[in-house]
Amino acid sequence: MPVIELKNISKRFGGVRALTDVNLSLQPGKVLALVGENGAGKSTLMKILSGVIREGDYEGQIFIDGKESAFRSPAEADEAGIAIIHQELASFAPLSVAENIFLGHWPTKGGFVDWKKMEHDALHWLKQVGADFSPTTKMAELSTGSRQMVEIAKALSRNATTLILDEPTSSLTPGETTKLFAVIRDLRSKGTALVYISHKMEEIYALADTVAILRDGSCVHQSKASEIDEAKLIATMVGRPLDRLFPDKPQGLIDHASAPLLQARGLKVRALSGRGEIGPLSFELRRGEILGFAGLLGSGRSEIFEAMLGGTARSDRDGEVIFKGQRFKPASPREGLREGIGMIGEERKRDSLFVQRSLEENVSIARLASGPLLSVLKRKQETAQAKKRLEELRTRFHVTDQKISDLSGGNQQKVIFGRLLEIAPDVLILDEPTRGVDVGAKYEIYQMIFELTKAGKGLIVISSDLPELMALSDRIVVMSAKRVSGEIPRAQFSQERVMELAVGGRTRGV
Amino acid sequence: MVSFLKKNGVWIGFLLLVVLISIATEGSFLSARNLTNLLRQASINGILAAGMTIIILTGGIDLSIGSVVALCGIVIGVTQVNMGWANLGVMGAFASAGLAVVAGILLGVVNGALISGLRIAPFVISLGMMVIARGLALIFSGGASLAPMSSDFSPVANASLPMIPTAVVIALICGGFILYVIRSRKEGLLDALFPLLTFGLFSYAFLFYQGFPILGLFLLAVMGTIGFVLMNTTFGRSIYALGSNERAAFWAGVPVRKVTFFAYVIMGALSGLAGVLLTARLNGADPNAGQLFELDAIAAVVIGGTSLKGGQGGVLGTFVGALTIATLNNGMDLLGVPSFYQMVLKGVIIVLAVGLDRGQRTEA
Repeated sequence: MPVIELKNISKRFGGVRALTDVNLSLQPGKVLALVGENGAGKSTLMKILSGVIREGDYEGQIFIDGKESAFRSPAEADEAGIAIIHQELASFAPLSVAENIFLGHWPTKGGFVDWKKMEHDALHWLKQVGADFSPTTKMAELSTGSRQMVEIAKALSRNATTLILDEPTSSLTPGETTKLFAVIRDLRSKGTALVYISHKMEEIYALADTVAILRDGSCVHQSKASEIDEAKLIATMVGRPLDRLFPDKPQGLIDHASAPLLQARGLKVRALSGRGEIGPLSFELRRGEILGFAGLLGSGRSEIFEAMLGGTARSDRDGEVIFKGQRFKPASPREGLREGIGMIGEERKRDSLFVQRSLEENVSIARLASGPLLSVLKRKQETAQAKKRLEELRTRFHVTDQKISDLSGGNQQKVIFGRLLEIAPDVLILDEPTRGVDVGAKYEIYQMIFELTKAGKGLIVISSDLPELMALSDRIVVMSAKRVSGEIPRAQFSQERVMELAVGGRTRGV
Repeated sequence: MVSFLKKNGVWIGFLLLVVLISIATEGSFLSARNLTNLLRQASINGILAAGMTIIILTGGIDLSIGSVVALCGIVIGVTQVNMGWANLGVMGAFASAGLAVVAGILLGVVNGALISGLRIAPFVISLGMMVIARGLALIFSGGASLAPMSSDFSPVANASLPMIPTAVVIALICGGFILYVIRSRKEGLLDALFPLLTFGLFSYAFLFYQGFPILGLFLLAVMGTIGFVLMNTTFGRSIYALGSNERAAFWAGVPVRKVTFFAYVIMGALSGLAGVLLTARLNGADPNAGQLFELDAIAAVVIGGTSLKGGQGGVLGTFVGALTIATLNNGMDLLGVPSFYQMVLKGVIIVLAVGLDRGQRTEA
């Protein structure tokens, strides 16, 4: 008998149908992979299941152990044994691991918190998930992967019978991912029902017993994982056949004749944590070239470029950078944008989005802001220009004054791309250009990147998605523990080679 | 329909309040004389609230404005009374007023420089400035009120335009507004209904009483200018970007420090102007004037729907917010509510108004 059964679940947001008659059943001891593009309705469905969207705000029925149930709050879903591990972990960093596990359900003795029992029990649950750190460790000191283990331990301590994991590996190292998979398999063997939400095909096929595909709010496919191959899965998800993940890389675009666009010689920057430096880094970027940067989280690959563009104080930078033949040591990213070099940060919401503002404002801001502080806008012209730019990038939108938060991740990313293109840059630095972007939009973004090289721009792409990096780059520079550990030309690309260099230089464990 | 109600909630609330108070006062609230007074009462707070809108849109706050208003008033008092500029006629009045605005700008420069340069929380800096400016006002005035001013001050606060210019100004504003709505085609004509209705109410009052009050002209000029700057200039776009996501603004090339700095300088200048107008209205300068002005200004901004987190809102909402607060004060005075009770009631209504507004927003 299924632990949880969803029947004819529908949900509308205003005039928009987010979910239409979705039926889903979760079996004990099975992993259900829930896949779908961004905006397909996965998170809405999980919000209903976890009580965030309350009873009465949706249509349809939820059966738990065969009994019809409804949740008026996340706490009620929690009571019913449903736990969700969010993509962005909601833990309390200054508190200890034990406190995080028992938050709100502290073991007590005579009305006071029983610290001894709390630590003792926490240790028990940590062992269940194979964690080797102490329950008194502060949450802030743990890596993302370890924090995830704490969240899972917390779910177990609450006797969760159903565990929902929302893109759990998006910021994990390969080692942490392996560990997580072992825990998931262990839970499955103990009879927990698991929902695994992910974009990553390898993971889905490694873990899932059944696969459910959501598209435009409907469940368009549900079967055993073994009954659908990867190509068909992607095609069903996207709604059209997509035979390849990457467009062909145009050849012979690199301009070797003229001087490099951007050159770094012995660039060293102080690490944001204040301890140690990143670098030295030396490279040359020519017109038409894509230079890839790989490295694990914390390898310094993003920090060094942020610092180079003026993200940190000038005095924290050493070495020489030459951009279009001129020494380049900007005080802020603004200077770079005025001269034709810009960066798109790795976390869209944190680094790029003006969530409450319109598409037009989001797209034109860099061009407007890098001009004079006070000048009058020609509104009609601005709107027309924004519209043209967004259409050029094949962004799916209604009007330029709709809010950017209305768009899916992929379309938001196109708007942010448009923002940078508005200043007509010569060099673009893209940090995780397709994070949180669905398969279809990824392809379009890759095409855009190749178009830019055809137009003679130079690109630096930083990515932890190795297949992506290998498809795009002419060379890959690998960073490890804040140093460059190697450079690989396109002819010698392989995931193993990159990973070897990425882990190779590391002295400390994860 | 629902979205219409949500979008116009502030206006509907304001007009409901007008209807309620009109009924309770058996119509005397709606008399031409009272409405003219009401706009005068709303003007100084409205001018300050317009500046506060910019500050709050950047995600900041300025608690010093009440004290700065008082200090700027004292600058006028000292020059007019102690230094005898009151005898210099119009020139002396202009010089005093100019110096007051300069003082306001200087204090704004200090606020802005400290907040943008040292990256200390605006709350703390402006709290410090609030106490410092009040202290300076007391020092320069010797702790006492300074009066009288040159008689050239009075018309600024108490006079009105003659009828024909009044009619011309009203026609220009209405025409301009309608033209703007039609051209921007963003807001439907329906959304222009409430602003026009409100404006119509006041137009009738001005035309049937003494004409357009000069103080109201100052208010409209300030609101109009700031509204234009926010909507139609690069500086305005930068303000919204900064308040919406400072890190993203920095990476998009917004000169974050400069924008922050100028936001506080503008606030300082408007506090100076408010000091001039208040002094003119009271015909004297009081070092204890302007207490809690910052709170009324913040309340007007927040009632008007601007988010305290920054990045969302605008000056038209603040305009209604300022009118709402003035209507509350005025209505309760007319009804003879004792002033201690007025404070309690005002507080309750502010919390209710903002609470209702937020309730709607989270659903959206």
